Amino acid sequence: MNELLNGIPWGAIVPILVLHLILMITALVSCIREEKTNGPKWLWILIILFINLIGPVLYFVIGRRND
Amino acid sequence: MTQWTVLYRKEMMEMVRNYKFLWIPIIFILLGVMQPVSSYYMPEILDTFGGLPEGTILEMPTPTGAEVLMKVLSIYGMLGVLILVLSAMGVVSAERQSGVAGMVMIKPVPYSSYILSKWAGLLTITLISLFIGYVASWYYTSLLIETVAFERIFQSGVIYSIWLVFVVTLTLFFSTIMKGNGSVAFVTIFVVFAISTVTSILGKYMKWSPATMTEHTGQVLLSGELNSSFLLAFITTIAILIVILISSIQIFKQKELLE
Amino acid sequence: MELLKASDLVKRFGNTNAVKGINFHIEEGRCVSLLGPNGAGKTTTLKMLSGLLKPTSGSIDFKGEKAKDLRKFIGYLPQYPAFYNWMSGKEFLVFIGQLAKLNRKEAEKRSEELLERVGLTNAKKRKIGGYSGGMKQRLGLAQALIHRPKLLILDEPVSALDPLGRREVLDMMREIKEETTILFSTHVLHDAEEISDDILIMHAGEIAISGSLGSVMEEYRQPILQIEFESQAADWLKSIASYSFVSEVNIQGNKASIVLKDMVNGKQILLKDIVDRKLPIRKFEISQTTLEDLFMKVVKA
Ligand SMILES: Nc1ncnc2c1ncn2[C@@H]1O[C@H](COP(=O)(O)OP(=O)(O)OP(=O)(O)O)[C@@H](O)[C@H]1O
Ligand SMILES: [Mg+2]
Repeated sequence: MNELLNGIPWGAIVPILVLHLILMITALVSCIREEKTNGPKWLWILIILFINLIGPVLYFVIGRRND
Repeated sequence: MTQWTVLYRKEMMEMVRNYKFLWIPIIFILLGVMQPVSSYYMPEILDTFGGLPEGTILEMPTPTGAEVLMKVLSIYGMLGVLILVLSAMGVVSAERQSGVAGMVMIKPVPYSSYILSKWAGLLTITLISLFIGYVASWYYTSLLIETVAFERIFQSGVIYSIWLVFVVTLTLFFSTIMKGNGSVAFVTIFVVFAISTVTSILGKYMKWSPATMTEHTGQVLLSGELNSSFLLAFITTIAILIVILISSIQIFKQKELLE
Repeated sequence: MELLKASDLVKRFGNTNAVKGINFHIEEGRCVSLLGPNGAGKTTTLKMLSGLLKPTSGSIDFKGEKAKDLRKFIGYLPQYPAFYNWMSGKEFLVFIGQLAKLNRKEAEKRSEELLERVGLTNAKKRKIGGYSGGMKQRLGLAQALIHRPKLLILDEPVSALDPLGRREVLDMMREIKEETTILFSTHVLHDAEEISDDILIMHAGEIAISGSLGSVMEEYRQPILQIEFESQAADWLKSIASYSFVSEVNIQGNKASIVLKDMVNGKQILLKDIVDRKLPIRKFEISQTTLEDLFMKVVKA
């Protein structure tokens, strides 16, 4: 296990984690700043926080009001 | 500045403000790097967590770089297309629904400028996302699996982008003729799926189909050679795109705005 | 000078005849109100003039020439204006200004001017999504004016506003009418009476009455007798309809308005009647029919 951890090229993994984080934070910021979302806001916040990748995408596609 | 430019800049500004320029490219990057990363770790993951009996020798042929990238493109072909269609479904229909399309067209704006600025906006986000995602995927593949010549990436990317351009143009068309965002997405996805399926079933008779672009992409990736039927498919695809755009403009002209 | 002329304008939606071949013209520099009840075809007519809706048949001439694309001469405020809610008020005006072929600098300058004029300077940097109904209406007015149109068309500019907002918009219209020709629709007759020079009354897709406000009022004005009682006097009011000099009696609770053919004798006889019967009278007034009476008459006919 330790060997495996050592073998991980962090240089390759970290950017991926960072992108996930950016995605989540952007969705979160957008959600909180939005006056109204389609559906309850707290639910969207939970979805964004706890469903990795798909949560933020769902929020941007259906949760956010684009007008 | 022409009205087209003003409208195009508005599209860009809107996509920046609603974060589309951020989240769509990020999704394409993540979808693109997932494949090389998981291919790389698959043996180790199985080894560590698979609970295989001691001494089992894993006979998993490591995929070549080109194969990994083919997988990436097939993921783009499903999830990427889904994301693009869902994010573009309201491009005209939402503005018609809210009435703001009428507020724009009440000024002396050519109907073609309106539709073509929308189209250019969609192409911009589509091509940027595909390009960034695919390059990231290539980089990870080179890093973790094996190096693939950039030339092939470039060629396959360009050919693949023709297919995605076709998909978003179709979305624009349905968004112009229909009003509900959901039905736009549904019908577009259905039509894209139908074209792909028919093309792969009746391959012999469908050499002209835009959906063959995905096959040509694979061909270029694996062998670096273009199939001879590419030119036919390319020309018909361009012709279909032009027809779709012209009909979108004509239909938009007939639609009642401002209700 | 004649600015715009509509000839035999027809609009059909499937089986509904929304506009049934109307003819009218608009003189340059006038403020014209288009009156009519719900569904009369006002919006449809205005949309055809603005170029957003193709007439089924008929023609529109602008300055004596057959109109091709009128949009650059016309500023239009729809009945339900819509905006890009993610833009600020200023951004929207600059955007719309550029679409109306102003260059960026002109558009900026004109936007500032108009924001000032419609009282949105303080809100110009805020998102339109957060504007109130009245603010949106004023922004709608500003976008209609951005390219200094020859003809300003306003579809029910004050219907959705509270009394204060109505007052503001009407005052603005009064200013604007000094500079440009205005055609606006409304079903608030009082507004029409207040600021328009000419009126067009539409009913069921046709123009029932048109002309300058003064001449229409003159032509259709009738003397009218208004009587108010302390309690109901319906029996007597019904009985007077048989007098030959009474042409119409409208009873509303304790009040009645009576149209007389012969005011001079009629009022004497009626007054005497009231006194004889000791009816509990509160008010006895001679006045003229208003635009509202005329409107009601047209609509009910
Ligand atoms: N797009 C349409 N499709 C079908 N019928 C329509 C359409 N637009 C208007 N109509 C019909 O045409 C008639 C006139 O409508 P219009 O909107 O012009 O009336 P209006 O005078 O503006 O009424 P309002 O005071 O309610 O705004 C109505 O009977 C309406 O139902
Ligand atoms: Mg109307």
